[in-house]
Amino acid sequence: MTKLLDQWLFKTAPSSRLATLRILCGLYATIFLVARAESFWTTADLPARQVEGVGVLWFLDSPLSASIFHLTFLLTIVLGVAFTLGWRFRLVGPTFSLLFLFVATYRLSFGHVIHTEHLIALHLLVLGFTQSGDALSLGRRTQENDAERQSAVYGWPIQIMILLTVITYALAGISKVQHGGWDWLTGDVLRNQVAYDNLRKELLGSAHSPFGGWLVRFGWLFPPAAIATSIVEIGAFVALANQQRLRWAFALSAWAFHVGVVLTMAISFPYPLSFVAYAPLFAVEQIWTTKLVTRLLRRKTYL
Amino acid sequence: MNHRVKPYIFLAASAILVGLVPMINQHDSFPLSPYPMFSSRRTTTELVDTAVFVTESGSVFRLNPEIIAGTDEVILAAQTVSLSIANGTTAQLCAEITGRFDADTDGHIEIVTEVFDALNWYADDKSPISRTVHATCQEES
Repeated sequence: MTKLLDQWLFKTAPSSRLATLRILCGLYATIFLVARAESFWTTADLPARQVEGVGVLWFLDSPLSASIFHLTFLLTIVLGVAFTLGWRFRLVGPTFSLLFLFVATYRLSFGHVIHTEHLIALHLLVLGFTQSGDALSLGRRTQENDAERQSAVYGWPIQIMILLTVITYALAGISKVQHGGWDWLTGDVLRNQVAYDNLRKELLGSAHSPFGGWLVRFGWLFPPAAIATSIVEIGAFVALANQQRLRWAFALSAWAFHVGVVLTMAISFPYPLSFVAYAPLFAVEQIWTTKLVTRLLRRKTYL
Repeated sequence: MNHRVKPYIFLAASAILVGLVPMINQHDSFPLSPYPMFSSRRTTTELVDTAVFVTESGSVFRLNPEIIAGTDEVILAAQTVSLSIANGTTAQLCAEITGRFDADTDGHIEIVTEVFDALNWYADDKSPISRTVHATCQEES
């Protein structure tokens, strides 16, 4: 058993693969913070009676000072840039991943947990506390910045990121069957969910999906959609195998599932939709040798 | 530290903390969660807690999450109204909404629970099954 686990966990990988994941996840997280800045910023002004601490802020029963939260949020964005660039990573890596966890937790400590930041927060913790700053990093000497170095030190964090991705999907799949029971698989729960979610958004004056509203008229569409969703989520375990076909099959079907959620309920999970969530499944360091990137980098060098 | 210890700590934390614990205790938190979204056993008839603006002529205007709860998150806005009903603070919420809302015409804000058949709604039957008003506060143009 231990031997099997060792074989799975201690895969060797080039330092540039883990570093590329750092760049992709850091860039995604920083853009996410900037894009959702208004939502984060206004969190500090929500009424004190709504405070309901979750996660690492479970003890919270009154809001933090707005100016302290605003400063922390701005610092997190700045450190997000440094994290992406790999600058002073031994300090910046853990600090940014913990600050991201903190600001995201605080935003969700006002009465309702939404699930758009869970996986990126977990991935950042792995990247921040491992050696993802060993390559493609700003301010490191060339001989230290060896992108070709192969080691299990760069492989196991990627395996953990894959495991975390698989666990989140599998749990979501298990929850649906656990709570929705047989009605989930017959499509009734899914159909009612799509109808309810869009109706609630209409009644709360928010953007909804007219397409999803129209679709619920056709009950026969929902049993296959529900079964496909369960297969994608519970079947996420196939991504643990080191087979590119299975990994592509999982990543593309999970991505298609999220596109379906956007189209039918106007609910966006930006991390998987950006495909960055699935990046650990692939040899992402190869993006640096694609024609487009090499052309862009060359142009920048001439400037 | 043995070079195998750190990877196994991450592996155990992932499997136990992120996987097993949320699955067993079903506590939805951050970043640990059983991911219960879209899983509740919904029926076609569901209630929605919301806030609306009703003009003097009786027309009903839907208010958006920013006016209702000072957020652009629709789920948080819905939860804010539900919590205020549960905690008996609807009058306070109503006053806060009035402060965030500039009406073009005279009317009042209502904190309401509306029950609809969601499938009927999308079959163009938009009449509520029931409607309960929890609080009313005046808004003047």
